Amino acid sequence: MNCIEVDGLSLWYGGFQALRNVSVCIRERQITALIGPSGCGKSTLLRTFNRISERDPAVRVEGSIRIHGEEIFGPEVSLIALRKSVGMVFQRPNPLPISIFENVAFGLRIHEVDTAVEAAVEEALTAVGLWEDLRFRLHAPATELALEQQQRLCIARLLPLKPEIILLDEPCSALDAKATLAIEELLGRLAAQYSIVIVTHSMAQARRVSSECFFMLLGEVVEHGPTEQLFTNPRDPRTGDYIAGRFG
Amino acid sequence: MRPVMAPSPTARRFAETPAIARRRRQERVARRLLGGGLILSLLPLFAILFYLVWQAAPLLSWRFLVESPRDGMRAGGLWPALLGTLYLVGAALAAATPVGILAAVYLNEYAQPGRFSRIVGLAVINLAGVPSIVHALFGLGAFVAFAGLGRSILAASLTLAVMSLPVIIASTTEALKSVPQSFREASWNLGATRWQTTWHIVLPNAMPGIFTGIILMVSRTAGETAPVLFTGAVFYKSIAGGDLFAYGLLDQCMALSVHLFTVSTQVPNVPDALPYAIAVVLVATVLGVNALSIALRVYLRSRKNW
Repeated sequence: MNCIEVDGLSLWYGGFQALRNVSVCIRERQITALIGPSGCGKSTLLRTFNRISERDPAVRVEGSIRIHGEEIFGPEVSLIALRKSVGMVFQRPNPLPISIFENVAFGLRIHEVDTAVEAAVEEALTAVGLWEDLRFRLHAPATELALEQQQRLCIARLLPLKPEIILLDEPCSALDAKATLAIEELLGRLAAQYSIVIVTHSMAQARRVSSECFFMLLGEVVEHGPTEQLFTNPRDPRTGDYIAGRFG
Repeated sequence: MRPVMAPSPTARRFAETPAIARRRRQERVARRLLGGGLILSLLPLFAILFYLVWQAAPLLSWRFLVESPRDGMRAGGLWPALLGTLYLVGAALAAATPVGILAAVYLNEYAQPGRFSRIVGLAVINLAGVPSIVHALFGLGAFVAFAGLGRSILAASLTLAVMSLPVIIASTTEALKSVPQSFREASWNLGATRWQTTWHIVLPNAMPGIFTGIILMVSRTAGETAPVLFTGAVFYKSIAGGDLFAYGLLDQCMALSVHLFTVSTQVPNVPDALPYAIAVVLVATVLGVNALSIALRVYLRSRKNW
């Protein structure tokens, strides 16, 4: 089943058109990768899925995005509710400058979710593989963690809110090779429960983690398909050139 | 083929050439010039402090602080002026701090960046440069006459508050800007509202910077003479020495700055040490408040973990 359906989406930063009539369907409970050279619009597309791109007043959007069938540009859509179910992880780990525990509990607190906070924090930290390492220092500042742990924490922070979709914007670009593999392994496990969309500049990473892959160029989706097929047998010559490393 | 500039085996390749020697002399001159500038700027500061305390020494005592003036202000202490200044600064702080912080938070966290907020920001910075005598006149018209507060502590401290608002807004804005944008993004992406983000994330991390602004404001307002002279300070007022609650908000009061001015220029035959003693108390009050705020700031900074 599709979790995100994008239809005729165009986006402008002031006079510059960053997305051109994009129409894609993203399937649920798997990892979908958006690849393409810098400036192709892959991060922009990702950032419209929870409408965080609209923080910039110069941004103008046309078209439609439906998440589980529901239009997110509709007049009665609450951005707060939308972002609660569509969470995002950034390029640089950005834990909040509070304790590890409070980082994970933050979402529950701001949404006033009536649930056992301790249990939810333990569950989230267990899911990202941090619980065993951190259970005795939950009240240490989150900013003291190693980068990989910080990025795991940023993922864990989303989980107590029971999101449907997790968006990741080049989540490993600040990490070393070993940490990258560890995060990828984590994403693989989370894909059983959550729909995951990842933007990456690394074709190797897209190939390792994703089931489906979208190749973007100059604000358009050039090609999409099952990852193996897109990498071994691209239909569009531009996809082939990019994958072969002839540009980008 | 031999390279053209190959050194002869006997030349000292790392010896100082005349050009390098010239640059070394230049460096020495620059260092002395810059250091000299620093000494020239520090010297007057310490000279003032030393001179003040030296001149004031015969009069400085505990009783000077807590007694009322006697003999037409030629003897006794300065308690009414000290207390007046504390009241004025305290009330001004109480009025200006919340309003200034609210305004700065709106400007920085809520207002859409654009021409309007740029103009407002520019206006605020320029307001900070308006001479205090102009604020004095405004206070006289707005608070004393129009609002009907009369010449009173309330009118004077509101005048001081208006005068310090731009300083507080400007420094609070700086403090808010120093909080990394990524914290806000993290919070928004979890579905926090602007207010939740501001309250839980931005303000706690901006606190040390906000305190700096308040320190600046205290220093500035405690020494202001014209605004309080126009709106609520008097030459002499008799209150019980040492009584902390001697003034009401609608009373007129004495103030250290005005007292210093009066004693120095309006009262004949005062002891030489008296104006200096008043100045020492004024400076000590400001430094004392600053020290307190700095301590608080250091404490808050030490809890910050990024």
